[in-house]
Amino acid sequence: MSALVEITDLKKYFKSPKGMVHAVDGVTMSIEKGSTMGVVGESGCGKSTLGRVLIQMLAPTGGKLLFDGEDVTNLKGQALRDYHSRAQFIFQDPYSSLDPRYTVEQAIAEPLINARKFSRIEIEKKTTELMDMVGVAQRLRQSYPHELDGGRRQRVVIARALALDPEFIVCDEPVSALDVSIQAQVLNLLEDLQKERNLTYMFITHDMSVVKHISDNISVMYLGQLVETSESRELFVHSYHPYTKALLSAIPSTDIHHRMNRIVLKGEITSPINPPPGCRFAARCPYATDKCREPQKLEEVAPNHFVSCCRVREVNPELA
Amino acid sequence: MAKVKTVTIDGHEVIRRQSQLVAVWRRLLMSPSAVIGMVVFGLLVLVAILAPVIAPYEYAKIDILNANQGPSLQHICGTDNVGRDIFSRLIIGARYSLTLGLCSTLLGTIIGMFFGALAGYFGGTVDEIIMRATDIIQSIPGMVLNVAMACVIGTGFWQCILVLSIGGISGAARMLRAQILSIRDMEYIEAAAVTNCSPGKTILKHLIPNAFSAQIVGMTMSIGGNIMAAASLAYLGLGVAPPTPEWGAMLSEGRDYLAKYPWMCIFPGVMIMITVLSLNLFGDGLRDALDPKQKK
Repeated sequence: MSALVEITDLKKYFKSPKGMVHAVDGVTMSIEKGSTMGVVGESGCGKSTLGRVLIQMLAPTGGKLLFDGEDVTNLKGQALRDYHSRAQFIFQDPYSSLDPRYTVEQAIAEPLINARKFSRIEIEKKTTELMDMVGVAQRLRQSYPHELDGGRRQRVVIARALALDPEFIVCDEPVSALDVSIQAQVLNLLEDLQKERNLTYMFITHDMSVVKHISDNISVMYLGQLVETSESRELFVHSYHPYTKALLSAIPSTDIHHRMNRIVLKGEITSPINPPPGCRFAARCPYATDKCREPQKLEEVAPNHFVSCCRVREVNPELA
Repeated sequence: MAKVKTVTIDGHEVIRRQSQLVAVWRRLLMSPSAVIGMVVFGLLVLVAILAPVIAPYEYAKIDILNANQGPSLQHICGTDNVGRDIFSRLIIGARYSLTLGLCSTLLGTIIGMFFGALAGYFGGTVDEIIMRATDIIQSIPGMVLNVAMACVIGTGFWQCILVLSIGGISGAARMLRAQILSIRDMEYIEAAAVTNCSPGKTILKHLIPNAFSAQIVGMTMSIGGNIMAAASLAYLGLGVAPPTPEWGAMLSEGRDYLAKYPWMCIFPGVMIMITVLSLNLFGDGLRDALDPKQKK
């Protein structure tokens, strides 16, 4: 398998009155064709910004973005329109990502109309197909979003994303706004669609159980930086970065015989505004030394398992 | 929820609801105040259309012997200082006043919405330029601006419409800009961009439809204001020239006789009030009816 999406040292800074906010700061990763890359991290760690930069909704401040071998870092005009037919985005909140004045039919047809290459009959036919594909009953064609429940709305959002037959979809917390009972349905739909159409996903979430269920690979982000990336199964068994360890220890267990060894982090979260060089986690890391204040490198500690921590071998004696 | 019926398309049962217009119309009829406003304004329009048929007297016929008469059976609303029948003048005046109020508001709102949409959508320098321009226009007192514009454009009925529309541009621009600013950051606008929706289409199909309701009410309010402003212009000899019986002009003519012959002011004033009130009621109801989230 080859990588569909490759990002190298991607940066996105925002101007703010207090200084530059380093939302995404030097992220490097590659996503295999047909696989799902889970991106996890706490609120404000830049995972949504990363997804938006990948779909070119935001222009990166620096770094490189390769899609299927082509450089797509700063696309404009027709090239950007073409890119959007290959790479799409599913929004977090289906309540606000659908225009309240558009019916289901109009919302799904919109990307087809904007593509300007389909006739009216084709658009009608494709809309019908898309509705069947995502499991929205045809009788709801002319319903408005406020008449649908959250799960159906998210299905409409998914249909919109699928309309132009993309290869890559960034899912930005697609189930976090939904009821738990509906989350599973939408996740299964996304999985089925992936199998049928060989889709590649980047799945952004803060829900560890969701990411475990759906991802082949997982990347853990902390304040704009990638701290650890590995295969999904591997990460839940062997996590090497102190932040990942703390994050995984916070997953509630339903097994009453299993004692939770919760790692409680202390200290202030580093401000993402003009942060000092070095590991962003150093201020809260129980293992931090002076070496951590220097820029960190992503290091392959096990096959396909990368960690960005200079003390990884000291913290994890089994690696040494 | 709008009434729905199902039809079959390609073997699928589809809930085919009535068209948007029909749905809006139905919702409009649900609101008693909107219906009252609509009926009253409809009557006014009807009167304007049939004016020459209804008017009992020639509107410009001077009858100096019967000047300054109070309301009577011959002259329902009395006569003015040169003996013209006020009732007939009001009826003919409906044509001028309504056209003037509607056209100037419509023109001003459309131009204002164009600039407001640009300012709100693009922000930054575009916003800065347009908003500072509206600041300049709004810093000039309305009357002074109207007089200045009347001097440039000239006097007469259509010129008066043009003059008054300029005063409405900045208000409409500001209102739409404010609405668009609150909508622009909604996720569905971002979502439209990802589906390759062009800026022009995003403004026309997503932003304006969602921002329009406040505009409608603003428009109905400014129609009355424009009728009044036309009166002031007429008073200064810069608006509709006498003997054209424009309501505002009649009102300002009657001002000199307010103490002795109040009906010269009262009746045109009442007509303006009825117009404004009916439009406000109608506008309020229309704003609610245009919202598809209305469950009724």
